[in-house]
Amino acid sequence: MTMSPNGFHAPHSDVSGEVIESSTTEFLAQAQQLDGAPPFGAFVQVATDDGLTILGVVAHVQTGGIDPGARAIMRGHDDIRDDLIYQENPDLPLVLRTTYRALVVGFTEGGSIYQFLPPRPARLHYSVTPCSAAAVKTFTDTGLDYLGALLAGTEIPIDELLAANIRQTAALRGEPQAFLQAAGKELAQLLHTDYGRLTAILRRCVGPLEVRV
Amino acid sequence: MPLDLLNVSTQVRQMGELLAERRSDQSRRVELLNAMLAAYTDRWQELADLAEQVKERVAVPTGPLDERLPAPDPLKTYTALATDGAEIDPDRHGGSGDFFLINVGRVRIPYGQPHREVELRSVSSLGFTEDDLFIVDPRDPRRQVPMRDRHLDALRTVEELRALADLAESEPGDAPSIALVDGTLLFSVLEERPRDFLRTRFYSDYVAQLERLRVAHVPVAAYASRSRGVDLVNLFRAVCGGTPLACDVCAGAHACALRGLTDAHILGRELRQWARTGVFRVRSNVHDPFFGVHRAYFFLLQTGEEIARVEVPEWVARDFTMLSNVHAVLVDQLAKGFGYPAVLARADDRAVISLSDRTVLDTLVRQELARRGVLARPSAKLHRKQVRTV
Repeated sequence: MTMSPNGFHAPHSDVSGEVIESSTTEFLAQAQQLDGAPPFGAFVQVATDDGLTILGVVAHVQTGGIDPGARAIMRGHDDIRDDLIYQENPDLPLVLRTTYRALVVGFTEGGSIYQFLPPRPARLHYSVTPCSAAAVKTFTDTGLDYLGALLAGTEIPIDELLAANIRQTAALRGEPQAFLQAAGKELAQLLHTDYGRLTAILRRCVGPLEVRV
Repeated sequence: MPLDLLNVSTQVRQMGELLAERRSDQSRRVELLNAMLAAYTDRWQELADLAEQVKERVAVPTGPLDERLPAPDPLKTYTALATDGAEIDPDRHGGSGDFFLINVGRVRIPYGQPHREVELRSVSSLGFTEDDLFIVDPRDPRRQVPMRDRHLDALRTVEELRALADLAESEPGDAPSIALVDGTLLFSVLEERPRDFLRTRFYSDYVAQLERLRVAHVPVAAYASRSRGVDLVNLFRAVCGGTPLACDVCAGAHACALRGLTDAHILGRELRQWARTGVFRVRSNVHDPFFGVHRAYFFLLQTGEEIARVEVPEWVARDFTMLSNVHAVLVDQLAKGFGYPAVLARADDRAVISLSDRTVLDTLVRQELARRGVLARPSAKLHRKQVRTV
């Protein structure tokens, strides 16, 4: 598959997972490789056959037994630790899996980008790919309304998610300060009634020496 | 609530009392047997000769009774193969037509061979033709036995071993491979009359698979967790004649001291973790005529938690390297699987048919029947269970 100018089509080799649960607001994907989920806070996308590409932000990553009834137990003994445990039990990667939950933050359709919920959810069993730097830039250039969508998320550490997403997006875009300022302004509007929470998020968006709040 | 719990709880208490009593009685009887065991420890040849003359199924010693072998050096590189099966019996009440399903979990785990792939699969097959659903006597085609219950169990056992032989034949042979099944090699086939065709049907097919494993040079073993085998106990019963009044050991007690004891009680004492007993041949009038060079031998293995029984065919029992590899691999597998061979546990995971799998299969069958205009009506009995009326 060729790269489109806005970067929203990725080659198959970049596939990071497959959709195994899907709804309007989020989707759950199983990672291709054990422990191979995209980073927490990263942009991912699911393209469907009808020209709709759904964008999400990785909000939770989990690794455990494939069988819901099977729990992992401690396997280390003597000098067998860490990767040696996997070498000693080569069947483990086939009975464990990594899944990640992504919150839907927008979609592209007919060449346009929208920062609100798509008309249809991502299709089950379709590929999830990480968004390229170009795609992230295009998406965030259109606005930062998606931060509001993330803020509405439940049952996940929202403040950590916002900070992780802003940090990664700033680094990917290649102009970190400008983006951090824009995101800071957007968050200041969204959280104008909660100054304490706002500063806590902003502190997490930058390295410890660069705090300018 | 259909269970009368008040009544049952009284019975549970009575059962507990009886079990505790039986347990203390058991250790007393094992003490009684000590002298008898000591007398026969080195006279195993006499016991073996006697075993050949007994009618019942008994264990034939192949060495001193107190033989103990510690775990051999572990194999760094080996391939563990295992299969396990589950089945769905034909449902007489469901109305979706007669069919059965056999699901075999087949597993290959190459250890210490990072270039080889692990295989965890299930192979499901549906039996629905007349040939599948009835076992026909080749000498008298009017005699037909439906393939269900114990016969379907036997068929599943054969299919497990067939899948194991398939796995064994595709082994490249550069590392030792060991094939495991759960349970026993000496599975039973119920027959209504002597020289019946049912045993011929199942045992011949089973032995053909054992032969494929022998040709592939892959030792096969059947693993029975917490063995309750009594083949050696049966031999001692034959020795003493089973008449407590005349017996030196029982000394006029009201019942035989061997009653309720298993081979593990007799052989398993003082067996250290990972050690095994010597090898015993099982002399069985039912199996031996069919099994030939695949006659079953067994040893007991102390896993730390319990005593397991491991059965192997004669060509494994008589091959020192193969037998030693089976022992070494089982020790490693038991450590990896926390008391039950890891590869068998994986095969079991793949074999299990869940309630939701059953529902999906049932729906698939109903849809197919409906598409062809065949109405799947449950029997009146099942209908009554599904729709409760008062």
